[in-house]
Amino acid sequence: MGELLSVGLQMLTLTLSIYMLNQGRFNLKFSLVMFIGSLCIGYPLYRMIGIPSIAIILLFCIALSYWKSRGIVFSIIIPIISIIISVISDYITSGIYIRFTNSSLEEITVGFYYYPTYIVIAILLTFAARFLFTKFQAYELLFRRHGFLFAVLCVITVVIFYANILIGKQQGFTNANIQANSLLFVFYFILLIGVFMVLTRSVMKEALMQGKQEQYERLLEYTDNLEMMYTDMQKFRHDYINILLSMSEYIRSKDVEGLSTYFDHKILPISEGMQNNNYKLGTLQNVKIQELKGILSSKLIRAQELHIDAVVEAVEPIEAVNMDSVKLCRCLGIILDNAIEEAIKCESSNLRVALVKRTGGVLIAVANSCQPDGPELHRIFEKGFSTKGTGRGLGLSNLREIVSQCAGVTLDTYRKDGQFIQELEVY
Amino acid sequence: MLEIFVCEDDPEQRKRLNSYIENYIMMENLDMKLVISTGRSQEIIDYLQNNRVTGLYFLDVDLQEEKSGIALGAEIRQYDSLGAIVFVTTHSELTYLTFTYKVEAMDYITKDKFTDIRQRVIECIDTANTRYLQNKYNNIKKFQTKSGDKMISVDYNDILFFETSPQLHKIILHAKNRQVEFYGKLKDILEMDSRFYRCHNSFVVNKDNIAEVDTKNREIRMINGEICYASSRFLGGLKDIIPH
Repeated sequence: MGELLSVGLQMLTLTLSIYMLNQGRFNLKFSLVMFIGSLCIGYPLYRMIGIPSIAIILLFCIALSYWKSRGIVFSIIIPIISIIISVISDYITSGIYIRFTNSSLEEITVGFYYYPTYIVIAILLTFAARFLFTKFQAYELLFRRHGFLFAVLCVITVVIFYANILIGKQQGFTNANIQANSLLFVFYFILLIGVFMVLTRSVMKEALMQGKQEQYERLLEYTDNLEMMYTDMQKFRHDYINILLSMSEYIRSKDVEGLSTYFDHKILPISEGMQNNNYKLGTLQNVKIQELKGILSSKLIRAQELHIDAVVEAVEPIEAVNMDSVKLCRCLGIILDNAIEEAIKCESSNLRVALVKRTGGVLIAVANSCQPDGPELHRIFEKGFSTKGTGRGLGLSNLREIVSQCAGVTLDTYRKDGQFIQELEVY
Repeated sequence: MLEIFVCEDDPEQRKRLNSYIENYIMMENLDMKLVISTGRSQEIIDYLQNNRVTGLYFLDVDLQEEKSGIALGAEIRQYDSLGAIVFVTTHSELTYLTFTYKVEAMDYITKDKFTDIRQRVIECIDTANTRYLQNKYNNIKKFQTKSGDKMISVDYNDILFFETSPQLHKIILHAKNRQVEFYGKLKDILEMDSRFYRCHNSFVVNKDNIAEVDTKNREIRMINGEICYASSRFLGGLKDIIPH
């Protein structure tokens, strides 16, 4: 009976930790299934083969997590971390009792207070782990690139822990042995977290560098554009004098007819040339945020290269937007990419971006021409939806996710009069 | 009566605008009047401060004074929230959206050789007139809420459901052809109309737009195919409402 209780409680903490670390991705019912399943497998196995049965339970939990969530890295990492937590809290509890009551291991585990303490410590540790986890999770990049490494690291840790326990059991646990082990384990755990942190920092630094590099390249494009505009202006100034001269010639000879043909043939085309693409990005000078200017110019220049009539409006200087600039650029990138992709399919394709200062903040509106018979609006927000086949449509659902993380940022998406409009308002 | 205002600093162009407007009013015998035609923006503001007006404004964007036409438009908005503002400009293509968002301009007229300004003025008068009459006689009920500086207004018929966002107090309104976020509370929305029903802790659904209820999976399919979720606690209340 004692054994059943002990195994049951361990499974309970294990599934509880898994549940908590998954932060609501698993519902309670699913966790209950996991608990009962692992108990049904765990108890008989424990009686048969003892401690190694934990490996099979672990595999069971991983398989179940994977079946539910489909993310291989997290399905491995979370159960393993839960097991590490349960082992550590076991050791900490034993360590505490040995230190304060001076009793032997057998006395402790049958003691009344042992299991409650164990569970409380496990829950506290899980909270700590969850806190660290959410912090790390903000850095998606880290998990995408080093997720596998983490998983391997976690597996090795568990193997080491249990090898230690098995050896300990063979030689018989002494109090000193347990205390040494607890210290060692705690130390090891801290080391592991330390390594995580260092790795995170280096990856973040790298990402930052990359971002800077990208921004630099975008600004280069923008300056090229400006230079082109400047050359155009030069040309115009040169022509201007000539135009005046020839006009004055017509006027002097009172040749109104000649003047009028000259006007129609020479001057009107010039004024049309002034509406050339380069000038449509002119108001970007009012955007004082470099990152924002970078992404706008690069996307709009690309749109113009694709023969989309792309215009940016920034009538007043935009000095600050109250939103994390990395997130802002990601959002705008997604919005503009989608706008370009859609606009291209239309006959008279156009794309307009406006940055408008309002009393409370800044409004960024992107309007593009869209096909009249496009898909229902809610469909394009679904994960995995794309008009270009599977595996691409993360754009708009990602956008919604990013926006929902930011306080004071709202998104308005609608379709009206053949235009698809996205308004990002930042307070 | 719809009152018309013109602010244009070039006397020549102002005269032309005046004649277009007055002729058209006379010809069509419209219930309108050109009240002020001026080069100084202050005159219009003074008039608005002293009178309650629903107006139609033709504003030059590049006024020869400190205030630009856009700023003037914003000021007019403070006094006349329903008025129709039309910008007359030389470089409209570069500021079209800005007009719309800054002062909710109704339209803009490009001053260049290629546009038939008279025709455009007439179009604007017609639109403003229809809008004015619509507002006067027909108040279609709309769901309205303020989000920051923005007024969100959606026909009740177009609303599918409201959903809370993970961000605190943020709500996503799902409508036909529109998804918009704003700050608010589901509880307050629930009280706004009897069509709304709380079907889940984080969802309020418009009962009129439900296509079917899948009680087994606790999903509500809306008329455009979008799925809204219900919880078992609130599902019961839906049974009597929905035709099976």
